[in-house]
Formats: sequence, structure tokens, C-alpha cells
Amino acid sequence: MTTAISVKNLTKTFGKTVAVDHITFEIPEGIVYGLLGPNGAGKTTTLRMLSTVIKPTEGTATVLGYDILREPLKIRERIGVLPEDTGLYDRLTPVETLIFYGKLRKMNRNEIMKNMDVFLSMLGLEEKRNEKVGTFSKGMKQKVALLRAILHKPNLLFLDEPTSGLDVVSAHDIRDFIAKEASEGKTVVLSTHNMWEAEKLCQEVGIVDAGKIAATGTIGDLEKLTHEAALEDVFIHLVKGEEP
Amino acid sequence: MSDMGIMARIGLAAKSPLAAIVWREVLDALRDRRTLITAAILPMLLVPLSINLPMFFMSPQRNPPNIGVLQLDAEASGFIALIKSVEELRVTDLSQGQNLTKLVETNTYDVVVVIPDNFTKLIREEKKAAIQIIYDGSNQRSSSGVILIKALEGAYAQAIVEERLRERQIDPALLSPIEVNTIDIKGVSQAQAMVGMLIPYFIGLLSILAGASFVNDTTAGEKERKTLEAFLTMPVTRLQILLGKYFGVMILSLMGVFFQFIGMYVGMSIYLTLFQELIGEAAQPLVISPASFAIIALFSLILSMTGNAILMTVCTFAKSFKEGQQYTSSLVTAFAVPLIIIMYLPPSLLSKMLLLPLLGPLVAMRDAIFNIYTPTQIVLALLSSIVYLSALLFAAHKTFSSDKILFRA
Repeated sequence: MTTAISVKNLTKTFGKTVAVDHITFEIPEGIVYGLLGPNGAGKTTTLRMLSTVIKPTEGTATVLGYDILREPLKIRERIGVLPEDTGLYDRLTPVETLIFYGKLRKMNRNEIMKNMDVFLSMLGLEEKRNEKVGTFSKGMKQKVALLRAILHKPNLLFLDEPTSGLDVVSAHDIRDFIAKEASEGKTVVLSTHNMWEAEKLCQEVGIVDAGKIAATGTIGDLEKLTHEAALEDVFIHLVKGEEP
Repeated sequence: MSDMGIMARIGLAAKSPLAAIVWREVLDALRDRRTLITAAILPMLLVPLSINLPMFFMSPQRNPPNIGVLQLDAEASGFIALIKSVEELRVTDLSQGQNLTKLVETNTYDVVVVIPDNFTKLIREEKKAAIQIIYDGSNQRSSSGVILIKALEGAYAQAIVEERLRERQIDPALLSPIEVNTIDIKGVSQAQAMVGMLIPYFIGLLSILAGASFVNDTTAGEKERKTLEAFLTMPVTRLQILLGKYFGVMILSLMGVFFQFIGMYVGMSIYLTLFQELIGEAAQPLVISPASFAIIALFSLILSMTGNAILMTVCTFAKSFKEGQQYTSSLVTAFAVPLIIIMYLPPSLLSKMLLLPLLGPLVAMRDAIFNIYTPTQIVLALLSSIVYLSALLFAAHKTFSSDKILFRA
């Protein structure tokens, strides 16, 4: 299996705070990989470094074969990112939002329009396409942000807490969407708190705690390693160092 | 495409990521009602009002002072008639027994003039006669009234002296033994002098500050609303993002300056029509040559670009719009210093300021208004301004490229 992401000793410090501490792991192509960890564990900082939003203090990584330090633009052309906050402009409509980001990706007019129509319809936003995003519910905003990430049909997606704070229906729609992307052979890196969601969607997970990778592998591997029967118990075992 | 708005169509026509960033900046700002109010409506209303309202209260013609006259000398009708003949004064006769100080204190009258009973007798005897003026120095209209009464008293006294001299067969011209003839070597009229002081101040202030709220919104505001991170995941460089934002802000600033200019034009037109008596010679039309106008416009643009580059560098440090506002208010104070300095520096020092940031363009504007510029001076001011602007944009790029600053907790 080809490697989508290869991380070596990746480290990020902010002043005296070590957010990510020499992590090393690999993610094969075509799977959903879950980054699990408590708040402040370093998941978001790791995703930011891999999506080349911030530079690491030490170490390096390759994403889709490109070095995060030397070739950040090539990586950004090929990935889609859903940050923790949707980061949408409230005074723009979904159509204007997607045109803006499509143009930043140098997509041509026809490509933007074609992909926009398909995805707006797929996520049930067709009727809201010309309404300002500021009037949308959190679930609808999350869908627009997801559309922004997939407009150019990337092969690798970074999703940071994609269902956090959403209502049941919106969360269900987004999980369905992730499963569909995975079924098409795309690689998805998913940061989540939700163990049930990780169990349902991820083929492999990495448990992050205090900036380090406590363990990584398939859910079955981690259950064997910790002698636990459920992912939540594996997580508690690894993070708290005790049996639940 | 058919159900797309005009703004979306414009965005779709963007030829480069940079153009798309500029489009988004302008669209987002124009959709903000606060932008419309602060950048367009308020300047067009407030600037004319701020120019003309003080003038209305200062102008005796539009707002004549109320003068109460207590005439204790029945023969002093000449002086009283002179006061009553002035259109800019509203004169009322007072009767004895009233508390005159109270009348001024309560603003019933702005000025009370008391003509003593021996006024005519003393003048006739060629002795010094005295009139009493009661006024309120804290009241602008009262002060204007006093100035007018004193001017009348001066004219009346002059007429008496001239009459006395004629009675003695002496030419009254004896009182004016010297005539002064002035030669202005620069040929600057009083109107030019006034405008030459005010235009660099106003245009400088407008050009530098018109973009402040837009810069703050697109830097600190984006950080606060957490819209920046998604932006940074796109395949564009930080320099492209910065320049897109910068050009967007420049378009918005120039729109702001345009509306301020309309406000100033309307305000000045009203001023020149209604308050000519206050400005005298300055009311004459001021002619600025096309070349001077082009120089003023060029340096106004440079000031705006410089101001926005400084604001961009500083506001990127702020993590919230509120923090950005604190920085911009401090900068406003800092920017005001060169603007005030330029109004009062002697010419010998002004020429040395051409190479300094902010001051150079202001001096060039002043010289263009006075039509005393040389091409060398303009080129020097222009080149030095471009150097400073490049350095400031480099600093803004450095700031915008720092993860530590952009993701400051």
C-alpha cells in the first residue's frame, strides 16, 4: 500500500510550550485515519503542520510525496482541509464562497460551476446557494466549509472535528459523506473526540496525548495491545495509563 | 449561472488568485452596513456640518449678536445711529433701572453698551469720553459683538478727530504719515496660504486614515473570526494573500477618500457662499494648475499606500478587532504629529523634510498648491516615498509570514 503521509520527529513549540513533541507515524493511502486525543493534545497543531498552514519547529513530513517545508504549495493544491472553525465569511453566499476558493485554487469557471452544482445538491444546499452564510445553522455552515474543502476533488482530506457541536442529522450527513469519500479510495485524516465515530469510520487511528503519539495502528491492533475490547477503553488506557 | 448575482459573476471573472482576494475583500466590506455608514454617509453629512456649523455661530451676519444700548445722554444719537445702522447687530434700547450684568449673564443680550450722560458734553469739550461695554468673554457671539462695537467706536472717534482737524484747517491725512506697500516674492495669495496649510492636513489625514477600519477588519478581524486558517490552506503564498488584502483595502480607502472629498467640496462651497464676510480675500477663487492637481493626487495616493502599509503591519499583531482598534487609535495620534508640524514649520526646514516618510509627500503637496515646486524636489519626494513604502510592505510581509504572530493565543 502506498504511503499518503509520512511523519518523522515532527515538533512544534510556541515559546516554551511544546504543542507537538517529536511524533513519527505513517498513514497509508485510501484509508480513514483517526487522530484521537484529549483537548490540547496537539491534534490541531499536527493537522496544521501537515496541511502546511504552519511550519514545524523540528522534524519533517511528506504529504502525497511532497515535503511540507520545501513544497507547501504543491501539497495545498492536492489536499482539502476542514479546520476546527468553519472560517466562513458571513456576508458571502455559498456560491460566492465557492467561487472565491475555487479561484484561489486556479480552477476555471466551468470546473467551479460544475463541481459546485454537484456538491451543493449532494449536501442538500441547493436552495440556499444564494443566501448569506451568516444566516445559516451550524450544520449548514459546516457543510459549506466541507464543500470548500472538496470543491477541487482532492485525494487527501484533513477534517478537524467535523461533527463537533452539530445536530444529529447534520452529523449523520457529514459522516455519510466521509464514508462515501473513503469508499472512492480517498485518504481522510480525521481528528475527533468521538470514539463511536472513529470506530465507525476509521481503519486506523493514532492516539495523541501531550503532543506525543501514544499508539498507532488499526483499532484491532490497539485493542490487542491494551487488552481492551472497545476503542473508548483503549483510549482511556493509553491516555490515563489505567484500565477503565 | 442564470441565478447568480452580479457580484458572483464578477468573482467568477477574476483572472488570478490575487484578483479573487481583492474581489472578496471589497465585496465583504461593501456588504457591511457599517462600511456604508462610516465611509460614505457620515463623511458626506458630517464634513460639511463640521466646516459650517462653527462658522454659523461665528458669523455676525448669519447669527447677529443682540446688543442692548442704555443711552443716558439724549444728545448721543450720532453714535447710537451708527450702531443701529450695522446690519450684523440686533440693537435694542434699554431703560434705566435694569440689572445690566444680569442681562448679559442670562444671555438676554450678548453685549450691553452704556452711553453715559456726559458723553456728548465731554466730546464737545474735547475731553476723553468713555462708554461702557458689558460682555461675556466665554460667549463667542458676545465676543464678536464687542469686536464690532469697538470697530464702530474707532470709526466714530476717527470721524470726530478728522472733523476737529478740518476745523483747525489741518489736513486729516496728517494722521496717516506712512503708507505700507507689500511685495510677496512667492506671489502666494492669502487664499493659497490658507488652503496650502489646510489641504495637506486634511488630505493627509483622510488618505492615511480612511483605510484604518478596513485594515483592522481584514487582519485582526479575520483572526478573531477565525477565517484566516481556511485561507492559509489554499495554494497561494502569504505574499499573495497580503497583497490581495492590501489592494482591496486600497480600493476601499480611495472610495472613503472620495466620499470625504465630496463632503469637503460641499462643505467648502457652502462656506464660500454663506460666510464670505469671515474670510474676505480667501473667498476669491483659488486656481490650482492641472500639474499641481496631479502632484496632489499622486502624493495623496502615496500617503494612503504608506498609511495602509503601516496599519497592516501593526494590525496583524492584534488578535482581535478590539485590540487592533487600540493600535489604530495610537497610530492616529502618531500620524497627526507630522500633519500638524507641516502647518507651522518655516520654509527653510520644510525643504529638508522632502526625504522623510509621510512628511515628504505633505511638503510636496504644499509646494504644489503654492506652485513653488521644482521637478527635482518632486522626484526626490517620490523616490524616497517608494523606498519607504517598499520597506513597509516588506515589514508587513514579514509580520504576516510569522506563525507566532498569526496564531498568537
